[in-house]
Amino acid sequence: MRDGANTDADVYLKDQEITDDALAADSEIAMKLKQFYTSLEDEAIPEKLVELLDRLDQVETAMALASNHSRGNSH
Amino acid sequence: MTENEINFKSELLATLRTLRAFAVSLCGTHDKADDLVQDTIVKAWAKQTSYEPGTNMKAWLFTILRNEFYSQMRKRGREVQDSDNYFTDSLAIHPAQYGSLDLKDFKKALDILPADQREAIILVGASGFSYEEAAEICDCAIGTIKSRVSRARTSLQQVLDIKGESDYGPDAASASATLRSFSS
Repeated sequence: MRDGANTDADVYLKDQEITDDALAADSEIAMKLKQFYTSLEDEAIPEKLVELLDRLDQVETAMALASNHSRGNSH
Repeated sequence: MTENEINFKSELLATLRTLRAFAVSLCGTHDKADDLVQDTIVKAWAKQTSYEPGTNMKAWLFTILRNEFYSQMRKRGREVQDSDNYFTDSLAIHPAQYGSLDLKDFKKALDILPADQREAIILVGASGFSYEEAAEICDCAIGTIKSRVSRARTSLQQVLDIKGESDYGPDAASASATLRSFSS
């Protein structure tokens, strides 16, 4: 036994064949995981998030205009 | 607005659904997840000059969201994940479409996992990231991600009592690893 590595909770699994197969091997868990996640992705984006992006956009545009304007004045 | 800014916003919008799904997986509740996504958008917007167009916007945003999540958790001094009744309320009436498990039970099983294992299995198994990308997002070694995914899978299997997969169970896995280490 090598330095009790198997008892460590955060052990590195060096056997790639086992870990790379970790999700492919159990189709049911892999499938459920995707189904769970897809059901979340399918939800409509809340209005407040879309509005936030629009607001950020507007602020940026306004600031860009303001800085162009002040640059224009300095000439 | 420059072309980069337009691209930034549209790329961000295109990533919003998967980003939000990850947020719900981390936070457990839709309300908290939406607040977290909101904070992430503000952060990302402020940092947009540090984003290189054409690189992996999705991984970049996931990293910001994850950092934000853990920094908020630290401030609140709590580790326990909340869980809303979203799946219990809205999906319980639907019959399971695939397999014998319904999503409600699956969500419960996911909630039981330690946060580091849950995020690892979500990133690799659902969000579509490679082990390498997930390791970058979680700021840890690839081996750590692989180990977390593997342990998450084992726990889920046990909690959900999935039948017919004993060949891939932890005993078989560790047994073959042990045999290999002896033979090498």
